Amino acid sequence: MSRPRILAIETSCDETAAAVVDDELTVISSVVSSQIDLHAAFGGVVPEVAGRAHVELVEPVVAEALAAAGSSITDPGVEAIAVTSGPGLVGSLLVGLSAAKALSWVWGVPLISVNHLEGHLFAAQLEHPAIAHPHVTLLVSGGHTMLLLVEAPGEYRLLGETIDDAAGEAFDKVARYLGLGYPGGPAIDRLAAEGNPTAFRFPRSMRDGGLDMSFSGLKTSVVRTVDKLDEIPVADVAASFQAAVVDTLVTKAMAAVEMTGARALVLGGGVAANSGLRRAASAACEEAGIHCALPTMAMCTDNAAMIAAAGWHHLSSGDVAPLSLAANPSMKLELLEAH
Amino acid sequence: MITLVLETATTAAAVALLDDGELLAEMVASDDRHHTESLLPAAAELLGGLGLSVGQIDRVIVDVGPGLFTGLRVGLATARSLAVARGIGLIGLTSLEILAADPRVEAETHVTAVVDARRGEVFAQRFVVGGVRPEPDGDPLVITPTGLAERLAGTSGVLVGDGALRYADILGSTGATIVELAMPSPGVAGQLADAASIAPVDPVVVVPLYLRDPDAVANFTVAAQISR
Ligand SMILES: [Zn+2]
Repeated sequence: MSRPRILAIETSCDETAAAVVDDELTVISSVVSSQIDLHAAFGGVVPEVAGRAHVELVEPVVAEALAAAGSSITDPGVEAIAVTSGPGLVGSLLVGLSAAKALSWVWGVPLISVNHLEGHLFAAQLEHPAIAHPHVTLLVSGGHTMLLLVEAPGEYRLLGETIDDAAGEAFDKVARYLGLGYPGGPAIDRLAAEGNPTAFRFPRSMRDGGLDMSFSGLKTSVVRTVDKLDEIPVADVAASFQAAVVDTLVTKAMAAVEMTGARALVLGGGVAANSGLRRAASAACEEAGIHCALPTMAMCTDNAAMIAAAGWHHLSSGDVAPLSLAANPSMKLELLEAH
Repeated sequence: MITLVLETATTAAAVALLDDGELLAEMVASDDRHHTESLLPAAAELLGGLGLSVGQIDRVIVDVGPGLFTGLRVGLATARSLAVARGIGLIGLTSLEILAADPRVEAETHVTAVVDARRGEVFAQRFVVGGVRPEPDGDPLVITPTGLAERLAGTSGVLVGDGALRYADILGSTGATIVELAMPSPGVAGQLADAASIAPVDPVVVVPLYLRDPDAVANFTVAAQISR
């Protein structure tokens, strides 16, 4: 007899994803259909293109996740269905939401609303089940750059965040400026490996000791510097830019760890795939004598397994959503009251 | 044969239940773009009111558009998942055909269905009526109301749909009669499918009829042509 399972659906941006996860947070199956190729020609995610692709992909992806879990869409064998209801692109969110509602209704199982960011915070529960609490999570993606204290699963305090661009957004903008294409993160990461990270001294915006960050000035500085050059040493610019981003993120993350007495640092989100960030965070944690939990590459990108993990948390506290659940493109993470 | 019909192609969301060709109930769930929130609660309410359950639905019909893009996505994602999970077939009908088939449209020979396409344009298609199923007289178009008025000049006939109502001053100048009907009726869609014996298909082949490229794609095509 297999353990109780949840099916989760994630369509907040440009990945169509479904996963089956059991109550011990074992990932039974996880399917991600990426639309990167669809959007690459436009240099970024086009919301209308994403929405259209989700409509045709969502239920084949769900069927594939269930088949890989040994069941089927007509006989799913799940306790509940979890779905990302925000934040994200509204035209994408409502596709996953519509599919999840229909399945919940037909299967007669509860619908669970999950905040996408909370999904990223629960990703560590899947890959590092023994992770100590409290820990600091550095959540870095194309849409978000946040430092959170996770006191227990589902209990968060916001420690700091970007006041302008997300770190991943800075990667994309600089990559576009350097003509490296989309997505920018992997392209810069690859080039940075061949460049000199001290060739240019780009600013580290430390925002006077607090834990907030800023990345728009950095991008401007890169543009201003490169504009003055006759020939652009692209690898050196990439390496120096990446070093500035990584420096800022790791300095702030370690300050957050020290300030809160956290026992571990967790990385999450698409930028957590950046090799420079992974190296620097591991080294800083080793020096500080705390555990550094790095996600696998598959867990950095958006996926539904992390949504299922958050779904289990909500289901266990009876937090079930009605069929009238709306998509909330600017949904906020629910935080603990300030001290 | 219990049929559930989902309608989301305009600002309204509506559902209907039929037993073969007999309309059991019809409900407008929302008229202000709240498709996501209102569609399935309305379907559940309608079924419950008749003492039926979702497991008794034998087939699903959905309006595939053209119409509001977000509405179409809610309708199609819902209908496809519902049909696949129930293991039943799905029928896609166009918004223009459903409007043309509405018995409230009293036309001798021709009806032009006109759906608001936003940004100063409409989706329009002319049909020959009188038979069991409206017969298309040409492909559906994306056109300005003025352009449509020019095409219709000198033709007799009837206009129907939210686009005809929105641009009544321009389209009415052709002398055509404009029917006071904005939303494709899910009840009519169900009766049309029954009367014309339209067969359900594999749900995955039923996709939205957008009739317009996403902005970025259109802009990109133009840019590519210019740079060439
Ligand atoms: Zn994400």
